[in-house]
Amino acid sequence: MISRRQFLGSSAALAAATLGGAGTTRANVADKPRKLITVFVDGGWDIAHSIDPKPNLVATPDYDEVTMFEDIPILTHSSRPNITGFFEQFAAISAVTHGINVRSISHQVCERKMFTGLPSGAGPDAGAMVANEHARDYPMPYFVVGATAYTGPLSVISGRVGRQGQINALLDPNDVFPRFEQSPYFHEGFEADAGEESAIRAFLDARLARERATRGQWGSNRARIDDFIESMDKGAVLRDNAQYFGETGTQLELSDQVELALTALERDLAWSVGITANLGIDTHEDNDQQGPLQNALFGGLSNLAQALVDRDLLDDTVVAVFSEMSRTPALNGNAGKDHHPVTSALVFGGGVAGGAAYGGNGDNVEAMPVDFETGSTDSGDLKSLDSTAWVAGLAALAGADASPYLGADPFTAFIG
Amino acid sequence: MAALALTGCSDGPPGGDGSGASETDVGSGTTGTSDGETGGEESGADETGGSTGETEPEPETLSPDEHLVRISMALRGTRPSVADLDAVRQDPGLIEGFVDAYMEGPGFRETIRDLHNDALLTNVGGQFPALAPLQDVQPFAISDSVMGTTLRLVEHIVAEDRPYSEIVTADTWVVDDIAAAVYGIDNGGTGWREVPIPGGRPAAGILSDNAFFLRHESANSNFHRGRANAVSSALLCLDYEDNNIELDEGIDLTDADAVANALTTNPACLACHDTLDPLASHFFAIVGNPMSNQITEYPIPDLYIPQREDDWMDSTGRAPGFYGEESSDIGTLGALISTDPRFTACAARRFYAYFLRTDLGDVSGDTIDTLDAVFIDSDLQAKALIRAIMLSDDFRIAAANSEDSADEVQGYLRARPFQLARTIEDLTGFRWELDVQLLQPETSAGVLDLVRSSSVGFQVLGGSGDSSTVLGSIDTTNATTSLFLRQLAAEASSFVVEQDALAQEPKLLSAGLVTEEEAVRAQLVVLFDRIHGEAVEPDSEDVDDAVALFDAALAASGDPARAWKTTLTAMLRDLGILFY
Repeated sequence: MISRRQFLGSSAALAAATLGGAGTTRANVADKPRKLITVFVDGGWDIAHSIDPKPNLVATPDYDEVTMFEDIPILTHSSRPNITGFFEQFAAISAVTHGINVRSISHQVCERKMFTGLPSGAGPDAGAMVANEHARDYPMPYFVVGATAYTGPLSVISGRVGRQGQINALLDPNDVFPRFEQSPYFHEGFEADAGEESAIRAFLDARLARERATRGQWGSNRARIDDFIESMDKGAVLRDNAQYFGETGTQLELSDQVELALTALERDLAWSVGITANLGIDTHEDNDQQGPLQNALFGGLSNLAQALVDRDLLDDTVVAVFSEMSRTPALNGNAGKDHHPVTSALVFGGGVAGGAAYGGNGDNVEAMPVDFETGSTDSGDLKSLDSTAWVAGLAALAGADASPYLGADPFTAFIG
Repeated sequence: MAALALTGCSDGPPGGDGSGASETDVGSGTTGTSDGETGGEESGADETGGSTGETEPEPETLSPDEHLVRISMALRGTRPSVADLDAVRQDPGLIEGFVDAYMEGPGFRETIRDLHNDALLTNVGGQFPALAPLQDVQPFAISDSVMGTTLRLVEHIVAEDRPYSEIVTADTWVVDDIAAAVYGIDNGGTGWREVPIPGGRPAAGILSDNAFFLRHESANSNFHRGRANAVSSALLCLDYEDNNIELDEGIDLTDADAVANALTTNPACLACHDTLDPLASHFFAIVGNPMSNQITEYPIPDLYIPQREDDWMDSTGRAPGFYGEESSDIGTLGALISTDPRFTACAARRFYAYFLRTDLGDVSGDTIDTLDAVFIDSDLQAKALIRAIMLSDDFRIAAANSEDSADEVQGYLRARPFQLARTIEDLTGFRWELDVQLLQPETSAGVLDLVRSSSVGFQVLGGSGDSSTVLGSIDTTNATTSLFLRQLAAEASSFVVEQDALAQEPKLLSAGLVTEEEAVRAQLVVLFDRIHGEAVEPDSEDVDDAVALFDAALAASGDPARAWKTTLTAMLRDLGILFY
């Protein structure tokens, strides 16, 4: 560890100090296909509270020191023990990327960009790309446990659990919403048995075959029919695995989402999982709320990382933790911080060139140009790191090629 | 995408069955000669130019009865009656009349709300507790009413054939009993009704309505810019959020004064803030969304505080304005928007994108121009705009005629969950509801529509957004939408078979729980027509397959009711239910 006094220098010093693997040539896409969990910190986190320490700024939160975990500087404080705890345990497999330029301060647009790399949100996000490339035939390749995900043309591979786990009411005949006899719509219910379901499918398949031979011969129409058939098949498999999706009526907190995610990955039901932190971290007023909120976040991340270890999934899985934007360097009139278009993100897990931070944010939290292969802000082919390169890089880290969806070079410095 | 061609005025081929020749008699020239010339000119150039031989073949179009199914689903979320289908099979020229007829009634009203929710995003839950006099009402029901007022106002204006510009100029609110209680309105009416805007706020349609600004808040330090962009994006299709922000490193972002100064002097900042900030200055009198724990009684205090109208002076210092024109309050703003050419063009773009299930950005300029002209010629009758879309060649596309263009041709339009709910209820009489007390015994009674609810029900799993964290709808199928359709079909089939067995006027099984093959075939012929709009013969492949299904189910259970439940479940899980 180093003390904050030792650290109090310019942000350029930070970037220079954290050039893990400078000069190393990396392939554009990681060799090994890996599962991907995205943890979306919705609302816009204040990176100055944790992964982008800038103690010389006016709006720095309470801190004891800037602590180096491997080569990752983190702002630490006794009131945020979970942040310290996470990096003490998992810094070696973690990498922080600074200077991601989202170029917007709108929640919606920034969210789209950080997920898909595109302002429209029309394309798939990294989770969808990775799942599509590695596990198209899984029952639910991209499992959306949290609220936010973008699937674009890959919608067919995704599935949602619902805000209160209501997928269970569709999977398990014993967990359907109760019918009430006073209702004018009451009925005894009908659940097709295996033989009846087989007959139903035979009927549907025959109709679909005729549709394919006429209106559905090509292109978009063909895709709709194929998606319809594929979705029925996947749905059937999911029903056979209904016991792994929790219970209806449960408000899904971060820990609940983690458990669902890991179960799905462990059982090869899904390849990518989207989690939403649901922390309420958009602190336009009283920015000190970021402390306990991020402490809770990193507590959850520690549990996630430890569970990956315990279930022997760590080497096969990449976790990406990001928010749609960050917050301004200065406090506003309400002691809060507003939206800021440059941010940082954390990845950890298998295949990560860990123990390092890449890229840099200047003193005004402006994005510093960076070499995409080395992460250096001092030398090499210095370019602006925008959300397109970040998303492409995240896909590459999980061994997937984003080029069918994104034209940008991927940011690959964090690929080990 | 090709420009819009309007049926009835085009020189192009009218449809797959050659029925278009008679499409001039019904209705009264709704599309207008000039618009037809536009469409005909473009399609004619493509089709008859012929000099290079490189023109793409025109897509296949729907037959008249298929077209009617699509129109009916798009406008009201239900299938046409068998009588309507038979009528257009006999005389395709009747379609235009059905378009007009289908734009009456509750189904169309819900469609209008859904269409506008894509832009206004107000169909979200709120935070309104069950307090007197609403102590026996579920909080979700209070939120639905309070947050529903904006879309209800638009719905009233469109359904009642009033100029569309009233959505930003009307001097009324639309409330139900619950919203009236929340706002302290006592006009003695019932149901969703229009009432004079209470308090002292200016008349500006949805801009005077609370729900829009409860949904679109703005952080205090952002001085209502978020609201300004919501207005601009929804009503003008001008979204400031589309612009990239490039930080000027010369600005000290830790110095609030330097930042504020840059917004009025720095060219990069001015590109947006020069027009955005004056727009935002209209909204200082509209207070923010009260937190649930801040609401201690109904009615709540007025959310519009006239004394704050000039608070912009102490924040941005930019007087209210509208793209260079002077303005003073939301009343003048609404009037300015209503006469801005972008307002009608944006409506044309949004309506087309909604009904064709395409992205706003994919609507061609020519299509917007054509529809905009129809809209303006009709004195801003939204129904005229919709009619033009329903009767356009684009809306009749069934399939590509060659593989080369097939990726661009969308021949299936995906039904949203609310449309599926309407379809199922119309066909079977079934609504998928939940008594929330069965899940939460400690709460007051309340029945929740499971298909239309995102928080507890299946709206999002069924493929729609929730207007908050999940925006937009998916246009295909995935595992969860398939599971949703499967369960909905099973529930509805179970209900209708049990009901029809006892009913004097059955919804679907008019011949009852028949088992003899000829009777089964006859009933299936009727069911294919009613459920899918398909006129099939008793010995067709479709009927053969359905009979095989029915026979297998009957053989397995020996129970005619169960066999019919199985058969109807299959028919309601068909591709043709999810797509139209």
